[in-house]
Order: sequence, then structure tokens, then C-alpha cells
Amino acid sequence: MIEGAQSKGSTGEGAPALIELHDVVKTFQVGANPLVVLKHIWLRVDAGEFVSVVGPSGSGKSTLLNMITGIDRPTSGRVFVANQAVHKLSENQLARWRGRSVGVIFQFFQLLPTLTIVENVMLPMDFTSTFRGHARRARAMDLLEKMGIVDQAHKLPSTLSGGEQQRAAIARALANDPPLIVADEPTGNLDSATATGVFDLFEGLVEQGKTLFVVTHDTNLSAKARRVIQLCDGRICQDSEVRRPESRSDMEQPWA
Amino acid sequence: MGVIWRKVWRDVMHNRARTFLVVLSTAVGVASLGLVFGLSGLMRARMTADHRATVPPHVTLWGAAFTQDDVDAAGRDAGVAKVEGETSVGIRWKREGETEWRNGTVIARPDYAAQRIGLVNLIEGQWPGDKTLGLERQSSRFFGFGRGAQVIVQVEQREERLTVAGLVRMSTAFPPQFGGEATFFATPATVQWLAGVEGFTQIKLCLRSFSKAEADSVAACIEGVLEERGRPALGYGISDPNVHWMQDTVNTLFLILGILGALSLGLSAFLIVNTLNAIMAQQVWQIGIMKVIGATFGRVVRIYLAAVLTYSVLALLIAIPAGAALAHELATWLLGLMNIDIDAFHVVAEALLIQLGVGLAVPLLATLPSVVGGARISAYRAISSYGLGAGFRRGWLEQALERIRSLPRPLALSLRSVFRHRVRVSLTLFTLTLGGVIFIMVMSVNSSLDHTLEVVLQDFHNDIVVAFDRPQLTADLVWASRGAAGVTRAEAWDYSQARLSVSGGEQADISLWALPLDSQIFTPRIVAGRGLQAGDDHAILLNRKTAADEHLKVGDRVTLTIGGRESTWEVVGLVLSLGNNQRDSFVPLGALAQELGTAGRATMVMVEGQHHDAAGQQALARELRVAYEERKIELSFLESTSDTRSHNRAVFDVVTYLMLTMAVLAAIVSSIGLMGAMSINVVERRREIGVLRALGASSAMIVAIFVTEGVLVGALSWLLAVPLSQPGARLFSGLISEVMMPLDFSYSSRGALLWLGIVLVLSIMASLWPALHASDISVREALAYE
Repeated sequence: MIEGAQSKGSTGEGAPALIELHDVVKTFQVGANPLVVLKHIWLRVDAGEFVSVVGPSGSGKSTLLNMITGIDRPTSGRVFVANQAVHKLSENQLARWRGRSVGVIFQFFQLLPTLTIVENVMLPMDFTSTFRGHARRARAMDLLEKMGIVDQAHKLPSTLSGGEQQRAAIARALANDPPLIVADEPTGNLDSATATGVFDLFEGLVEQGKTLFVVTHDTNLSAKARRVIQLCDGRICQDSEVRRPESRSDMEQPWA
Repeated sequence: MGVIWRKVWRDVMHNRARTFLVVLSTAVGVASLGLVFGLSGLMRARMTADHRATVPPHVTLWGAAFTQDDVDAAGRDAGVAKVEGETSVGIRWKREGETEWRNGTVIARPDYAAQRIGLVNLIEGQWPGDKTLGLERQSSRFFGFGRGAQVIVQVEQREERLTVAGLVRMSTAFPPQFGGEATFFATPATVQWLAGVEGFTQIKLCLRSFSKAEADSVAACIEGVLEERGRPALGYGISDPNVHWMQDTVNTLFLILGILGALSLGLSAFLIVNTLNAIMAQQVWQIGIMKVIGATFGRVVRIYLAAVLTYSVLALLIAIPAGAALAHELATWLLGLMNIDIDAFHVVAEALLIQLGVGLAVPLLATLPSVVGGARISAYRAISSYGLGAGFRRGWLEQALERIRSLPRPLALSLRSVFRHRVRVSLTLFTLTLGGVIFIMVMSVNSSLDHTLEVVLQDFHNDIVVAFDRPQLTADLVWASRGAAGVTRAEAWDYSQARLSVSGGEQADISLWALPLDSQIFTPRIVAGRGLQAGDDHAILLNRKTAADEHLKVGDRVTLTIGGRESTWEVVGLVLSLGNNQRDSFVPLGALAQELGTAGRATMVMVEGQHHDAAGQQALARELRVAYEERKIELSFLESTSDTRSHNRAVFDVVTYLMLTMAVLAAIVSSIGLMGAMSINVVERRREIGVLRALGASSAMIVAIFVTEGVLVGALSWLLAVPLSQPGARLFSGLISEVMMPLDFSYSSRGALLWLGIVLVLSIMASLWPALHASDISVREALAYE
């Protein structure tokens, strides 16, 4: 474990940093006792990176994700994402910024149940008005086509399988073409075959220049990431790049 | 349609049962307003139009036998625009085969084809001719016969049969169902043949320009003219030509309905707030997701206000036609009581605008705090999940409930679940409590009306009151009355209108009851001074309210104008008397007779009999009629106190039924609130239900838990409603006392107990459907993640 380790971007100095966390601490009050979930996190992620965050339950993975997306605020420290001091934004400013700059994918998909798939994908565009009205449907259908579920466009989420719903959620996350995609256990509710499909999609996004920040228990998914950050008890205890193994014996599990 | 609007619409349609409840409860409140304002609009318009169309008299002078010359002389007054004479006499009549004679009135006009004032309309058949009658429409409906029927009229010692030639509508005919007599129409010749009355008993005037002062002035002048001509008027009355004679009563009804309608709307608003709170609670995670993907606070607020607007529009689609239909039906009934025909069905514009405004604005305003509160939640809090114990606080109330240890666990679960969502249960309790308060208030007013009637009648111990057209010798009246079998006491009384001179040169109308100084029939409730006693001359036992209004006290000397003559009276006491809108005061019979010039005569007899029940009083009435007929004394009016009670009760019933309608609406809205709250509880506790099932709870047990919870809420609301209903009922009765008639307040404990039964039944019914839904949830469904 590296105390107060500063985690630097893996593409080297000079590349633009998309995410920077400066000495972030997050404390929750549980009854009368404070629970420190994130302890002095320093983190830098460059644009175009595929980062996975691993660690045991309660290590602070989801909390770290919430810091980056602005869903939660640090108790102390600073968070910069896509050139924005996220920790200084108000709730409304965060919502607008998030709609344009971050695509969020949840473990349980979180599609609105009374909207069809294509309407779910269009919704972020409606909130941020990033595309003209008549172009939104076309873009949504295009995204669904890329996700391979354009035939399900006019169905309600409850009629789709888990994999199809997750693809729809990915399409929604891409609706406003954000530079950063974050995913919290995106394959946690999927079977392995479906999860593999999702992995491939993520790789495709990275190749398109997106920055991908994924919290996962899934070893197969984390193996595809080029950088793995291990959290232990609220601290970054390991931050390494993962080389593609040439043999089985070369498989590294730096977080074991 | 934008995606956001689609979400709003589909969220509304997704849970149809809840949407139905919200829309129905909103519709009930808004429809109540439509009923009140629609009814008011329909009735005021028709009453005013009908009243004006009849060319109502501004002044009516009463007398014994005015001639046409007297009528023409009255018409020559400078202030008079039109004048007409009319004859009105009392008769006794019955149908073939009947044994009981009934009282009736025959009205005669000189020329029905050329009426000038107080127009009556021929609606069927022909105007009355020689020895034929016209029958007033209300009488035809009430007594069940019409044109072509034969009526037997008692004429001195003989009976004459007359045919009804036509049906006539007279808008001022007092409804028979409220104690009015049958009204017939005839020619002056027929009246003379029947009743021996020549000439007119009324002179009706329309002024060039109406004002009360002008009417008083003209009436006083004409009284002087008639006196000079040797046929003095016995009195006169003034009516505002722009105000229907029942306008005051109807206005009171509107006020009562308006208050109850506003309360119903308030209930609906609370219900909407409660439901929207529940919707916001259910949609917290959706709000979180929307905020994550870019929705601002303002956007979320607009989304949910759009949902409220959708509910409102759906409710208006029901409420507007329902309110209009109810208003039309009720107006038809009420106007029918007043013998007025209603126009074809239409929506009153004022009612429509009010319903639109209130129906859209009130839900939006009422739910704004809930929507803002829900939208304000941060994305983080919204998407966090805490499992079964989410949001459960352990405050003082929960700790207190935990101390109740001896309860079976399912009952303990129900009891503690009641208070799990404080805001929701508070709003539900509020609506149920308010519903209970309204119900008990209405029952208490009903009870007060009954009690007041008994109190008014209690002051008088007579069983029968008899009135005569002309003053009769007192001795003859008493002797004739005592000659009837079953009479234990008979006293000659008199009655007159008078004007009390008050400060500022104004005059107040009062009613004078003149009684023998040794009366045993009247036991006044003296609140100051003393009652009338032997030796009193011009002494007056003044009504307490009159004294309070005119700042008079015992010992004061007042000026009364009786029959056009002023006289001075000493206030010897103040009496609590609720009759006649607290305008009745009491004077010695001899003193009034002196002022009226009717010494030794009277126009009324109060008779007490051996039996005081309805049958006994009817028998006594028959004996009295026989006794008067034998002595050739013609009476104009005879009524038992049982009949008085039932006639007044019939009038009160109109008010009571209307109030009960609103109370029922309030009860329905309250129970809808409970049903909605219980439905939301079931949805929110799906996982808990799954766990209960996993632990072995049967469907019946699940149902019992939720129904018990609903019944506990209902019972708790009753405990709150009863103490609150006391001041509420007193306030409401006080209001009715101000605008309708003075009420002797009587709290309805029966109403409170009745509400307990009703609220428990409603609670069971309201909880049953959500409870049955809860029992349908399987373990797998309940514990599956979304």
C-alpha cells in the first residue's frame, strides 16, 4: 500500500489531464461516528485513458466515482474534470455540466421505465439542448444502431434483456458526445457472454478517443483496461498499467 | 410531443389506479365549486327574471272590502305608476270521497286577461269563469289532481262542487309541502257566491320609482286616503321589486354550500399534496437519474408541475360537466319548490371560469412545496439505496411505540407503520379529521335546528292556534273554543306588525303578540326585568335581540307605530324568543286592541287540549272546527303544533339534505386520501412484504396488517375530529344563526358516534384494495432488484 500515493496519468507528462483529484477526502457521518471513506486521494487521468478501479467492498470505489461525476462532493480537496472545478459547482451547474461532459452508466441500467429506449437516449439531449430538436431522434437511432439494438428502439425497458438494457444505457451515456464515460459495475448484472459484448463496446469507445473510467469487480473487464487503480480502505494502494498478457502465466493481478 | 412531455403523460397513465384517485378527488372538490357557483348563477338569474316578469307589487295594502273606487283613488297618488285590486279569502275544501276538510285560499282578480300587477300565468286549460276555479300548479302537483277535477267547497252550511277549469302558475304561492294551503283562482262573482265577500281585500301598487322610503311615504298617504273614505287599511307590506321573496333563504343556502364547497376543495387540495408527496417519493431515483444526465432543478420542477397540470386537466374534464349537471338538477328541484321553471341545461359562465381557475391554480400552488422539495434532492441522495430500513428514523414517537411490548407482532407492525412517514400520515389524518369535523358540524346544525324548533314551541303550551280574518268578540271566541270536546284551556290573543322608532329617525319592523295578562299558555324566558302582569297597560316584553340591536333596556320608553298610529310603551322586561327571526315581542291584549280600535275583540285563539300527540291534536282540531261552525264563526287558519313542527322540519330538511350532500362528499374525499396513502405504502414496502412472505406470512396476514394500519389511522382521525368538531360546530351554527335564523346550539353526540362507525367502515374499505394488492405480491417480485 502506498500512503498518500499520487497517481499520475499513464500517458506521460504533457498529455492533457481530463481528471484530477487533489487531496480529496470524503467523510460520512454514521450515527455519532465519522466514517472516512476516501483518504487523501491524489489522482490524474489523461484524456483517452481506459481506467478501471478495483478493490474490495467498502474500499470507496463508488464514492470515488461520485466525486468525479459530481454526484457527491468531497469533504475536502479539489476535483477537476474536463477543465472544470467540479467541487465548486452548484447542483444546477453540476447537472448541466454533467449532461454535456460525462456519460454515466449504472450497474442496474437506470432507464426511465415509462420512456421507450430511443426516448431514454434522447432525454439527455433534451435536458442540455446540445442538438437541434429534429436531429435528436436521428442521433439516438444512430447510437442504438451502433449498440446493435436499433430494433428495440420503440420498446419499453422492461421488455428488454439485461444486456440490451445496458447497451441502451451506454447509448444514453453517449447521447451528448461527452469526453468522459464513467461506469459503476456495468457488467455486475449481466451474464458473462453479455458482459463480454459490453467489454468490446468499451474498447471501441476508447478507440474513438473517449476516456473511460470504470469501477468493477469483473476481472475480465479490468484486464482490458490499460490502467488499473486499486483502492484499499479509501486509499490508492496500487496504480499500474496492465500489459496484454502473452501467456496465461503472464496474467497479473496487481490487486490480489 | 417532446420526450419530457411523454414521460409526464406516461407517468400519469402508468399507475391508473392512483391517477384515478387523484383525478377523482380533485374533481370532487372542483365539482363542488361548480355546483355552488352554477347553482347560484342558475337560480339568481331565473329568480330575478321570473320575479321581474310577474311585475311584483311594491306596496300591498290589506283591508276588509275595498271598492274599485278605493283602488282608483289609491292610483291617483303621484307616486303610483300602477294599481290593482285583488281579493283573497280562506275556504275549506276537499275532493269527492274524502272526509277531512282542508284549508285553502281563493284569489280573485277583476280581469285575468288584463292583469297589471303580480301576474299569474295560465299554463293549461282556461281562466276561471262563472262558478269554476283555476288551480295553482304547485297545489295540483302536491294534492294530485288537475284540470277537469271537481272540488267540494264548504259554503256556510252547504257544500258546492266546482270544476277546475285550468292550471295557473303563481310564483308567490307558498309551497304546500312547506305548510302552504292549496291555492285556487276564481272570478270576483264566484268568490262573493262562495264566501260572501264583496270588494277587494288587497290593493297592490307599483311606484314610479321604488325605494323603501318612497314606499313608506306613499303607503302612509294612501292609508290616510282610505281612512277618509271609511275603509281603513289593516296594514301594508313593502317588497323590493328586484329581490325575490325567497332570496334571503336562498342566499343562506348558497352561503352554507359555499363554505362546505370550499372545505371540500381544501380537502381535495390536501389529498393532491399527499398523493404528489408519495409520487415524488416513489420517483426519487428517477429524479436522481435525470439530474445525473443533465436535468436542472428548474427542469425537474417543471416536469412534475406538468404532471400536476395533467391531473388537473383530467379532473376538470370530469368536474365541469359533473358540477354543471348537479347544479342544474339541484336548481331544477329548488326552483321547482318556488314554482319557477328552469331554462334548458347550460353551463354557467361564472362557474366555468371559477372551476377552470381554481382547478388549475389550486393543485399547482398546493403541490408546489412538495415538487420543489422533491426536486431539490441531490443526485447523490436520490440514487443512493439503503435497503429495507431506508428513511426509518428512531425518534421519540418510535421509541414510545416500541415500549408497547405486549402486542402481537403483526399488530405492532401495523401500529408502528402508521407513523413511518410523518408528513404523509399527517396529511392523511388531516383530511380524515377534516372530513369528520365537517360531518359532525352538519349533524350538529341539524340537531340544533330540531332543538331550536322545540325550544320555540316550548314557550307556548298550546296544541292548536286558530286565526280569524276579522277581529271577533273575545268572549265568543273563548266560549266557542271551550265548547269543543277535549279543550282544557283557551285564550284569546292577537297579533300585529309594528314599527319601533329607533335612533336616527329610523324605524325597525317588529311583531307584536298580544296576550291576556293572566295567560297560562305562554311561559316566556325572561332574561331581564319581569313578564307582563296584572295592571300592565302599555307595557312591552321586548325581544332580547331587538333590545340589543337598538340599545334598549328595561325601563326605557319606546314609540311604536301600530296601524298608522304612534303610541308609547314601557319596556318592562326582555324575553329570549327565537321565533320569527327574533322579532317577536309581547304586549297586553287590551293595550293592543286599544291601539287597533278593536277593544274586546281578538283575531287569534290559543287552545290547549288534553292530548298533546299528533293524533290528539288532529282530533281536537276537528272538534274546534265543528264548534266554530256551530257558532257561525269563520276562521281563516287552524294549525296544530305537530303540523307546525313538521312544516318547519320540511323547510329545514332542504338545508339539511344539501349540507349532508357536502358532508358525504367530504367523507368520500377523505377516504380516497386514505386509499391513496395506503396504496403508496404498499408500493414502497414491496420488499418488506416480500420479506414477510419469506418469513411465512399468509395472504390473509398481509391483508390484515395493512387493513389494521388503515383502521388505526381512521380511528386516530376520529379521536382528533371529536374535540375539534365542538368549536367547529359551534362556529358553523353561529354563522347560520347570523344569516338564516337564530339557533339554540345543540352538539350532536349521535353524529360523532355515527362518524366513528362511518370512518371505520370507510377505513376498512379504503385499505382493503391496497391490502389485497399487497397480498398478491410474490416473494420473487418483491425482492427482485429493478
